[in-house]
Amino acid sequence: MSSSSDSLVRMINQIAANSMGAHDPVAAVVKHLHSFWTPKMCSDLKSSNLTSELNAVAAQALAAL
Amino acid sequence: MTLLHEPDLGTPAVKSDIEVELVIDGMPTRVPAGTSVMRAAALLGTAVPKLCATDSLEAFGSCRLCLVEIDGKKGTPASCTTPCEPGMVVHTQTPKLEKMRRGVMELYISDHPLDCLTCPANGDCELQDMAGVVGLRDVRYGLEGANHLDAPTDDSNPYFSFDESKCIACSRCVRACDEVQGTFALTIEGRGFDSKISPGGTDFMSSDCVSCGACVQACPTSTLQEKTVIQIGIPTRTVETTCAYCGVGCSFKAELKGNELVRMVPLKSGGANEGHSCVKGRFAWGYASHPDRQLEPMVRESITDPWRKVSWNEAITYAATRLKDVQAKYGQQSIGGISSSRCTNEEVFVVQKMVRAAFGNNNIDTCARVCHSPTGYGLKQTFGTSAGTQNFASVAKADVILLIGANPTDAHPVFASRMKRRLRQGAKLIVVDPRRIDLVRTAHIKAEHHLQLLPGTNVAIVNALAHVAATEGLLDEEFIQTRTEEKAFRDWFEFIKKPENSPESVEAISGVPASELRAAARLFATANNSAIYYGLGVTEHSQGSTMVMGMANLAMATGNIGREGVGVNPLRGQNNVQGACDMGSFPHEFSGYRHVSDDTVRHQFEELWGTALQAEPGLRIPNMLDSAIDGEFKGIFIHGEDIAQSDPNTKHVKAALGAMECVIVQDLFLNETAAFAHVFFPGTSFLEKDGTFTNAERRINRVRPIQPPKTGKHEWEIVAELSQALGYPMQYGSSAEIMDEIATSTPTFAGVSFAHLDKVGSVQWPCNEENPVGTPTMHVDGFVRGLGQFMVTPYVATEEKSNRKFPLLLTTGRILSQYNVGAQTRRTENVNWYPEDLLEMHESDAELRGIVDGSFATLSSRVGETVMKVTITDRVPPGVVYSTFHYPTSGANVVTTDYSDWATNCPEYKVTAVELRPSIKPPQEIGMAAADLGLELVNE
Amino acid sequence: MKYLTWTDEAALEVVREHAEKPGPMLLTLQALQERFGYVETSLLPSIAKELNVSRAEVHGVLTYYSDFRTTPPASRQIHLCVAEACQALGVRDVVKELAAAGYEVGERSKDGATDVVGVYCLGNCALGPAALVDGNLCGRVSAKSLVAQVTS
Repeated sequence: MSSSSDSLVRMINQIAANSMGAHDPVAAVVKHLHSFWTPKMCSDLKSSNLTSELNAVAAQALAAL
Repeated sequence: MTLLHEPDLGTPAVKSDIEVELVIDGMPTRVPAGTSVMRAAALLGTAVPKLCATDSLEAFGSCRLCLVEIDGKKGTPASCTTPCEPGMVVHTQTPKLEKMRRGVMELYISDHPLDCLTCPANGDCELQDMAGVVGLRDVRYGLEGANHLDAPTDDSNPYFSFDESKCIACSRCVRACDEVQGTFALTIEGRGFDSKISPGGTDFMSSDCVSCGACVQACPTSTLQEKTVIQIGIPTRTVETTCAYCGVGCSFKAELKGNELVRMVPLKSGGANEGHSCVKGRFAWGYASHPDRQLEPMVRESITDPWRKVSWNEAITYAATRLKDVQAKYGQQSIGGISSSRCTNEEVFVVQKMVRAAFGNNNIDTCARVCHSPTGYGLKQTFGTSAGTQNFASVAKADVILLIGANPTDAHPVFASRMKRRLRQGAKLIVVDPRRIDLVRTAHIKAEHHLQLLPGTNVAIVNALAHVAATEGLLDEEFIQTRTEEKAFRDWFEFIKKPENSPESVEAISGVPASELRAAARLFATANNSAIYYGLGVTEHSQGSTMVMGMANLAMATGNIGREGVGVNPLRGQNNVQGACDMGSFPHEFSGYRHVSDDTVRHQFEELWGTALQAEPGLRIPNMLDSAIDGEFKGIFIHGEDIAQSDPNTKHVKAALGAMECVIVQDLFLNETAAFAHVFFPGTSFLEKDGTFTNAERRINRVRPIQPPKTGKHEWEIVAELSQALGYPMQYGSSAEIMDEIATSTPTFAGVSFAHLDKVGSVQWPCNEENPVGTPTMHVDGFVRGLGQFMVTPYVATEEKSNRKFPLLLTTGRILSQYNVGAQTRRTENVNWYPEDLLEMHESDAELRGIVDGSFATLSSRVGETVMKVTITDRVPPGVVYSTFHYPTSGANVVTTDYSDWATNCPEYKVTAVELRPSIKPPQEIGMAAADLGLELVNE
Repeated sequence: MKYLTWTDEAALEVVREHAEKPGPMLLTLQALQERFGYVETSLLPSIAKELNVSRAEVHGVLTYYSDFRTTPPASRQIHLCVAEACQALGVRDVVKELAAAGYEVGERSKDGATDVVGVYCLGNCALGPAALVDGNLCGRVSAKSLVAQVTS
């Protein structure tokens, strides 16, 4: 577990929580990650052992990446 | 290269569609109805003698020098207070007038010290000029009668002196303080012969005076005089430039004697400030020559070693070698850079270019990350461009002003003066702020509503305002239909109508009474022109971006976009935060807010720069710091920013910096961050820079050097040479060439060049073929993105909540005399107004904890603790405390957390759960500031 | 004249009584002077705050009118008209005689009990020299009659 992964979990959960108003929240989160996250941040989160801490929308978005 | 004298036409310009014709001294002329005879004459080139009139102030008619004769009218009216009438025949010079003026002048001089040759204003005194103009040759009245020659001088203000003996009681200073600044700190004391100027029966320093200097500028004599003029003498040449403090971006005349700066005088033709200034811009420039300033490059192997002063060549080679070593060892992505909103567009552009082209990654971010990144995000989503919609002058047409999370009288004083002028004319003000800022109630200003919300509940409030408009039939249907996306509107409309957004529901969340919310919403929605102005109290929250979109929704829903007097307007914190964002400082965007994944744009830059560029976004500052702690990010170039003091959770920042193998800091001073640096490049002050700043109204202003760089190199030269040393060729002959490259590559800047700016003064982008002189008001006929897009903005409470352990909410801000981390203002006489950080606390909270006014208290949050001096005040409600962050010793950011805006990671500075307990030790004794440590090492 | 002893709290109450009236500044200052006999300058910032004006503005008004006092008055007051009509009717002699009796115009009397103020016209020219003694208008005054009144 790293400082980054903790932050990444918090960030993606927060992005998901704030995308609930969008038509398709999962798609909105995916778009956000593509626009603002480095590929490594995405892969780090995917490969971390913290994915169980993601909320539903965040988890779906990460899976859809 | 001579001293610039801007013409003074005596009375302000009048706008009118009707013109009147008249004849002055035999010359026919036409002027807008309402123009004074004095101004009409001045426009013809005839200067009517005057003392109490100046064109920044309304006519007063007290000096009796500007008398004229008008055919068919009795007497000799004052030309300043007499409006032109059709068919008037005016004579400004007749034997009768000459005699009267000489008589009036004789009375003035009969009570004035005759020390012109040794007077500081000798050569720059209107009284002296007028004595010459009226041909005064003799004063028949001696000085033996009652006079004011022995009146005392008030030297209490560090920047100007008030020598009462030289005062002619023209009231220009009093009127400047009232009309221009809006502080009303001066008055005429007594009456008749005893009349004198007084800052309210006390000295200047103890008075309401905010030291903006408007009175000094207005004074026609040496009564109110800059101390630098008294010490140095009258300046002999002018360089027009731009202030380097806040995002207002005031234009100044730097007045010099040789290369020595004598004074800064605001430029009347300056688009942002129109001849006004604040204490920082006008007076607080002494830091540029402060002995703490570093002028030579330095390097060291380890941060525990002493600094070693080296040549530029050695420093640049050393830095490049270390960066290359880090990349060789840890990979291409292991380094990055931070650009500075304090630097010019040209400097910022080359820094981001160096990162993208020479570092070969997109790990470039800027200090806008920690202030207005949500503005960029939110306005781009809704309107299509990452900038405010208006010019500053627009506020003069607003009928209702909604001010959210901004404290303009402290942080954007020159704009605050404009706003106050409009409020005195009758515009209504709604303040949304947890703290009672001055504008809630100050002389002649009273907010209609103060929505004193709990920190962190902005989105709930803006939703409630929009809810009222939507459910009470106050929407601008026509605007919505013609200017916005239908589907997005329908989604938003369904959302905003929900009961959870009603004022009654929001009252429970925010603490703001529902009735007050409803009244404020109706006021905003029903006015002709309603304008939103906001600051970091909007952006520095976990829902900063949501809030920006919420405000954009409200403006669109009520049709308040696309003309003067309305709009959504960020008050930007730093002089060039708009520019730094425009120049491609964000890791996901090239200049002009174009995503790095956009192939067309990227190929254009690849061709222009002759190198391959990456298509994926790079790391933001907090991600850089996180991965530094993880050991993956190892090198950083920090341009003019002090992240160890300004960024949240200082402990985390310092740990990250300490984990890096190559930290390069380019700054004026050995700041807190420099304590962790291996290479220090001395930077240039704004007085040495040649370039442009872009202010909060998108205005691109020229910054011109008054002297060559004291360090021997322009900052863009350092960056270019470092790039070169890294193996990427970067060569410019001047900063003008950098702007040319910006213009070539960035559509919104296509029409910008130094030559164009030198010709027209300033332009507001977009400036291109369609808008050659810029765009004061945006989105007039359509949004940049075509149709405006409503965004659904649900309120999501921050995770940072008060609890039993940390029951108070801390919010932060700044004050008038200090600027941000104080690196500049702490090195000026401004410390006289604010010698240390203060923590504001409500009496009931203080009593509960046994904390008394003026004592020290330990401030703790879940990430850290520090000690601050407490001031007890009812400005903050119970449960909320407020502090400034201008001094490294108090370290307010030691306690702020790393929670941030969901979309942009802008830190949540405005909400930290804290607790306070009495402390006996002042902060200095607890830990030595890193900067002091750094200095010590140099001296060893 | 009996005045209340100045306290900031009591004074602020008077200020608040008048603060919402149109053009409240003069009304407020007059009310304070009526109640306490003077206006304590240390309260100016608070008065300004209540009236939503600046401290300097209050100071300007307070110093413009010579009738406003910023220190507690003596227990008795003489306002003697020294304008032209009363001069024609001999007020200059009254002034001299008053001074000789320890009542210098423009100062507090030697016994500390009376303030003697020169004013310009009380509108009682036909009966000059005129004066106000503790606010009561008197005509055909002499030094003797004035002293008698304030020492009775």
